[in-house]
Amino acid sequence: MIKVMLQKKLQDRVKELLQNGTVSLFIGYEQGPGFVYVSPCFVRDESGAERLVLNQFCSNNLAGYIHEYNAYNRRIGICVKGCDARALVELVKQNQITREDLFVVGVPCTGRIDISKLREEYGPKLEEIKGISETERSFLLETVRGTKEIYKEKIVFDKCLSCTHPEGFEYDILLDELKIPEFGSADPVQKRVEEMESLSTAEKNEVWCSYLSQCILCRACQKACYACYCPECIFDKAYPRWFSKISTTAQKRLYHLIRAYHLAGRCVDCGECERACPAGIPLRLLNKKIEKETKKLFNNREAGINQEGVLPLNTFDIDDPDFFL
Amino acid sequence: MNNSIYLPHIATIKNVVEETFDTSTFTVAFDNKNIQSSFSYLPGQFVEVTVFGKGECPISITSTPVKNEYLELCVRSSGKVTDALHDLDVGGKIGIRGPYGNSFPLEEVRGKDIILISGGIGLAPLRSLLNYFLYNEDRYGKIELFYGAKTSQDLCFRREYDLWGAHENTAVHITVDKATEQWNGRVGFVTELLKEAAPSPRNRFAFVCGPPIMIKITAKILAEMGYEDSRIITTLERKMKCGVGKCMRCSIGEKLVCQDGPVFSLRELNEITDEFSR
Amino acid sequence: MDNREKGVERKIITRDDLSKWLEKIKGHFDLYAPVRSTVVNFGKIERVDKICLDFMNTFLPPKVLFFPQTEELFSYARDSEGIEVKRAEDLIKERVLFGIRPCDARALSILDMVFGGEIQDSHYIEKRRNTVLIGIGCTESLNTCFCSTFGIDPLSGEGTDIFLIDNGGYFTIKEVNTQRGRSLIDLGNTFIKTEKVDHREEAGSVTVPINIASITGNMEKVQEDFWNNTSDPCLSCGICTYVCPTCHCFDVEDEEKKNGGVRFRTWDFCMSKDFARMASGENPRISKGERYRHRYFHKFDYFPKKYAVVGCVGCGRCISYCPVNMDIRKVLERIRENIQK
Repeated sequence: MIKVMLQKKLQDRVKELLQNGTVSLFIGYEQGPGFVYVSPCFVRDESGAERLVLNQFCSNNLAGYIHEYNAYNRRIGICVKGCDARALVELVKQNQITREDLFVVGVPCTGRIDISKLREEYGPKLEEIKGISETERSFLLETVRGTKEIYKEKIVFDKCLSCTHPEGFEYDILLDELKIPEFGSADPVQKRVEEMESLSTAEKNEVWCSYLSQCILCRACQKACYACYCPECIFDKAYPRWFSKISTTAQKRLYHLIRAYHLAGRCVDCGECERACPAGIPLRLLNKKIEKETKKLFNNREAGINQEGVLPLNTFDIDDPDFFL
Repeated sequence: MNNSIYLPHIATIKNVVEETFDTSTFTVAFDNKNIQSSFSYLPGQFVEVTVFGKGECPISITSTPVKNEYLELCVRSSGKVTDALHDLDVGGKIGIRGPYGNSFPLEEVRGKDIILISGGIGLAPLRSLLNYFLYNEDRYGKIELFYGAKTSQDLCFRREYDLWGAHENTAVHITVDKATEQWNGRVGFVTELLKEAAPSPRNRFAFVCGPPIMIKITAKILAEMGYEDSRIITTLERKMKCGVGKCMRCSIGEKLVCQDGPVFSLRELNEITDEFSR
Repeated sequence: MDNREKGVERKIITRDDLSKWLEKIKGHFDLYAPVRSTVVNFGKIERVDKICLDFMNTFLPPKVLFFPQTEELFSYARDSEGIEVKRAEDLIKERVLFGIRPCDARALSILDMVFGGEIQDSHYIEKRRNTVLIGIGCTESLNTCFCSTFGIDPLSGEGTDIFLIDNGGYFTIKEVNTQRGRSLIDLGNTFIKTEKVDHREEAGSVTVPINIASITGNMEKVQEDFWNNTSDPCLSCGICTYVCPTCHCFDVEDEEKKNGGVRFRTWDFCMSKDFARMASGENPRISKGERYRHRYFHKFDYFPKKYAVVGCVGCGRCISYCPVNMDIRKVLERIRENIQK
């Protein structure tokens, strides 16, 4: 019931923002091909505000669209949960947009549902799910076959289990009080990083090559990532052709490693890369490792948490150990 | 199992003429004499030229199918493959696949008068057409060439203007956009030349080839002069890869430039349900 | 609805015997069948017990076996004389592809028109010629399936050599369509029985019937801003193109190695910004709306104009795998509404 109120509140606010010209575009969520399938929604006039939804399936990080739309829209309104707001902090810090050009609507979030986990818990026929409500510990799915209760911990994204919000981020509108959800178990990714670290190089290579053999270089991870805003990706540059377009496991490994390195110090662990990947590749694992190493080397800085601070890979300090770069 | 539509034949560069600072005409011949003698093409068609290790690019054939001992390809240095091609000298080896694409409508213009309007390197495919007309003069009417380039340094095929103009029924009008010391001739846009001459559309076809903006403006002027869109013929350029209609890179509306083009009449272009009717 | 026919004589093979038959086939041919890892894909079978029959459809469509994601076209070698070019040898042993669905079988006949025709792509054609297709009908459908929209019968083996229906404990051999299919049946004659069975044939149903006929040929009537607005959520990634059984755009590149090199082709997607960009920098489809429009026109307008068949088979993969849940059926419905206005 709270969710329905928030959804209505959002719709009303967005209507106002468009009516009084505060924003020329608002990016939110709308229902896709089924209740559990949500699509990003682009609203440009008041009548469109009714399409907006807000529920536990709204998982996309909408900050990824900003670089594409900020050239032709002033201001851009966007609704974000805590993890997405970290991307906004970074975008401003990386000079991709000014804070004034954004109108940020904060959305309280107590965990978003991972569709692949839901499929395992509920079964393949997700089209049966027509509604949702929640208690403190569970989601109550309203289905054509009655209500099904599932513990939140079982179907929220791994990242939600260890939720982090940016500090002191000022939302233009906050739909409701922000709470950091608490779960019994923690995000398993840190443990998985440690497990990988305990393997030999040859073993690591084998594990990653087996994951990456399924990669089809669709570039969805890149396109879903807020931080991949290069107008021409180095993998696409034709002349000079820095990287072959050949689709071998070695080339896929190279692509993912280079993308992970390009994200060092900037990845906010929104998990969109892994969610977007159609082949089920555990990309967060790779990015988490890079994050761990970056933190060690660059004074524990975590992307998107503080609004101050420098970008590790973009800043040169006279005391840097390398005498160039 | 040696057949593949993607396999190029090896050819050797026999001669290189520098037309401008970035454009050269390469005379090439297939190493295999049988392939060379049986290679038959018509003006308007193109070949896919391979610089091994760099890639392939489509180049319109600028020679005319009269002598089949060689091909002439006029190439501007504008990307990975064309830059590499310019690094090759006489004796250098390239690959050639083709000929591909459709040709200029030679039958339709029999007995008609012809105007050719061109800018910069756009003269290359029209040269093939013009030389074909001149070689078969009795089949065609009056021929008028309007050709312009940015400066006199950018004019291509200068060595041929007098040869063309020497033909009784051929008039050659050359202009440059910007005057420089070396140039004593006409200054102004080629479209101005066209407007002044104002050749009547009666019994006449117009062939236009050049940068997209020039084609647009010229087409407009011709329309104002009363030319039907079926009698304004142009060649289109699109990014190409396979050249044989499989990879879809050169698609324009429902047509493929490598198969249904590169020669299109304005009427055909207007009918194509292209991106927002551009 | 139960349209079980009681006591009908059919050629059947039990699940256990199917494994034995496939084992025997594997002795003579390279066998490709669905295999599950993080996703289900067609893979070369070393062990028949690795075959996954508990699947609706594979992640990558069967096109990957005839038009591989990366394929060498030829190699070239430099020596003192010059350059020699050698066509890539496709190591094509005779193959059997087991487990193809009716939508994908139709998609292969669509690709046959693209890679065949007046100019024959021998790389694709030879692989097609050397592959026998054993199809399995769909007695269930996914929420995203809409093959019937295109006249595809989920219980018909059109385009396959042999067509099976899964009846639980056993498979019915519903169709044997070719000589090659008959040879394979002969190979399995110790396993294939003729029995009176309660025959179940229920097709999975299409969830959203779409009137395709009203769309083809009328798509120019759709307003320009329709495409810009509809394509807003699109990420311009390559998923829908790569998982589509009829999409076939590719890139061609050279790669220099020592004293020579190769030319290969590789899948590409027209949704990418620089797909049509020319060396001059000019880009005829620079906006996302134009590229999105091109995709729909190619499938539902250009394809029918050129080949008299729509370039979509309703497999629903693009809907399942799209990271932003774009739905081709919804877009088609909105196109239809837009045309009627």
